[in-house]
Amino acid sequence: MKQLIVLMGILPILLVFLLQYTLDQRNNDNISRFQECVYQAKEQAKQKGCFTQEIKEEMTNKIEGYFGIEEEDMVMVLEEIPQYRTSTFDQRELIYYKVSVPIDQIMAGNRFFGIADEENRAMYTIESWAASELIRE
Amino acid sequence: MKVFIVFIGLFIINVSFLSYQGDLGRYVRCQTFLKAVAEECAAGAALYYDEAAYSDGLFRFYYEEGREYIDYMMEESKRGMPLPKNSIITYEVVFHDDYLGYEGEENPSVTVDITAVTGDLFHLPFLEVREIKRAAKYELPQ
Repeated sequence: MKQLIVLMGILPILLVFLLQYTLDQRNNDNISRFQECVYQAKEQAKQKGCFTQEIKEEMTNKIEGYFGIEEEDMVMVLEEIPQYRTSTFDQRELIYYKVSVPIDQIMAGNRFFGIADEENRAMYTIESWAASELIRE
Repeated sequence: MKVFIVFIGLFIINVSFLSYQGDLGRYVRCQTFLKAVAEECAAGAALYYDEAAYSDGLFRFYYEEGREYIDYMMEESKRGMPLPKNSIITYEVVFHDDYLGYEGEENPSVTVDITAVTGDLFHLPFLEVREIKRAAKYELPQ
């Protein structure tokens, strides 16, 4: 009986670890896929000179599918005005992009440890620049 | 007492594995990030070439323009990097063209090697990674 009581006490603690492995794995996979989506869109944007509506939609759809979120949940600042290739370095002709997605659950069993759902989330952001390969006609 | 010792054993194994999993995830993200930066630096630097020399049938990169672009990218990338904030990131760029020679290469190319010296990325005492190296090469067809 004593051992059963001890087991009932430690089982929730050990179960939290199990849930945390799964959650970490999911979050890591999602972030890797998110990096893939953004870098892929960036390569396309370099050819077009900016993030066109098609590139943006394709990237958004992929991220929505992977994360199970809506476009409103993301923060996207993308260059939409075509930038052109220059023969000398000019930072005004670089393509800027910043995409953030919410990671809704960082810690498994957060309520068990007294952490509110609002404090258990974060935004993962990728922000950088790329040189346009579009030639001015 | 026996149950308590078994519990502590399981607890330590679980904490160690969790720590390893988290650190490994960050390590992979850092590698992907540095690879993307290296690729962007190499591809961007390869855009600047001497058009006058090209019209004479020779290919020559604008080395200074390329380095300026890489410096700018490195500086901007540091703002949102997944690496620890006190990491020291350095790069090395190698141009291959008609002026500098090809050293066994066939086409003009720009190779960027990035080295990030970080603190120990793993919290576990028996694992130690203090440096991440990534390289990218952008080659132009003749």
